[in-house]
Amino acid sequence: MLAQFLRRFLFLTAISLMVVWVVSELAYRLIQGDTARPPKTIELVIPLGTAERIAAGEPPLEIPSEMIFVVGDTLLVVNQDRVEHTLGPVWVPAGSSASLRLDTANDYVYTCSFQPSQLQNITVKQSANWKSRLAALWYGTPPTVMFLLVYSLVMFPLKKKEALSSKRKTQT
Amino acid sequence: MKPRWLFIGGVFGLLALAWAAAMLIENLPYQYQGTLFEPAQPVGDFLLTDQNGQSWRLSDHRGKALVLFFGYTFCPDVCPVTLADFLNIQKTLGRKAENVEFIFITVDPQRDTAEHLKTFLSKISPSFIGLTGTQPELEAVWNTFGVTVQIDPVEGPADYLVSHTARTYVIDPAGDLRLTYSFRTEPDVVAQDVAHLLDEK
Repeated sequence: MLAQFLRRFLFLTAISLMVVWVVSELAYRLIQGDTARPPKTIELVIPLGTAERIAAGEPPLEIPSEMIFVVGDTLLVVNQDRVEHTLGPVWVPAGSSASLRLDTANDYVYTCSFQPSQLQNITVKQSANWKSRLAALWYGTPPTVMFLLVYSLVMFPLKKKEALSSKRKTQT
Repeated sequence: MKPRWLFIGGVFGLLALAWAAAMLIENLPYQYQGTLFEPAQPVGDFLLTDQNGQSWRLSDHRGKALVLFFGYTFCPDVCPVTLADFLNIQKTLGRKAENVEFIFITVDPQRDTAEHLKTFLSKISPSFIGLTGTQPELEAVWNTFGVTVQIDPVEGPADYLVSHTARTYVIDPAGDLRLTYSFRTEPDVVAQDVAHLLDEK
């Protein structure tokens, strides 16, 4: 009976590992987009004359209104303008550069001085790397195994030893 | 090969792997958690008055890391919280805190006289330095650090509150601005960065 249970448990564990891997991989591809990459430094350049354009009610040049990062990326803000600029916690005096490491996955709406709306959307996503894939397996597999095990025990109860032996006898 | 030798070999193999991983982690470059200025931002020298009525010049304090905050003693929320965080940073730094100065520069010179700063800071930490000055002196310093100051009249005994930038600044021992932190950054995070800054050659 115990051997039968262990065999079933191992079989369902293998099935669960495959199911969780496939589901998490599909989820990554659907939700994460282009985040299957190691962290890197992403440069945001504030061109000369940006403050003047904003004051005139014109959109800034070459600055996206939304930026997507992965956890561990570094945002490097290069201020080429004649005046200081701020982006949320990042304050960059004129003609200098400041960088911030993005450590927490979240959707941020930062106040900023170089967008006409005074707001900048920054999305930080969890990177789809081998660590997050292992984490998905680590957290997803045990409940899947338990679910399948309970389901299989209800639908296909383990056979008692006598029942098994009598079945074998009738077969022979 | 006997199982015993396999086991001993496995244990040694694991130890070697752990050692290699430790070496790798040890040699990884430190990543600052605050907003980092690269290259470091030179800070123009300035002269203000401390809580003892003595002149305080920035360039006289090279060789130490400076942790700066701009606030005022009548502040009901941001300033007391940040100064409490400063205490935690100081505590976390332990002996390294001897090489760090914690500086509170007023955004309300009208009320924050040297005497008033002294009374206020003595209740928090006498080791903290409070700086005040004339309006033009302070405005020049505020501009250097991108600090915005706005007087908001209110009813009641306070008469007015001051809306101000709540950023914390760290100046390295060479006298250059290296890091900034937004309000409510974990004190441990700031302490780790400052400790590493002090270890830099």
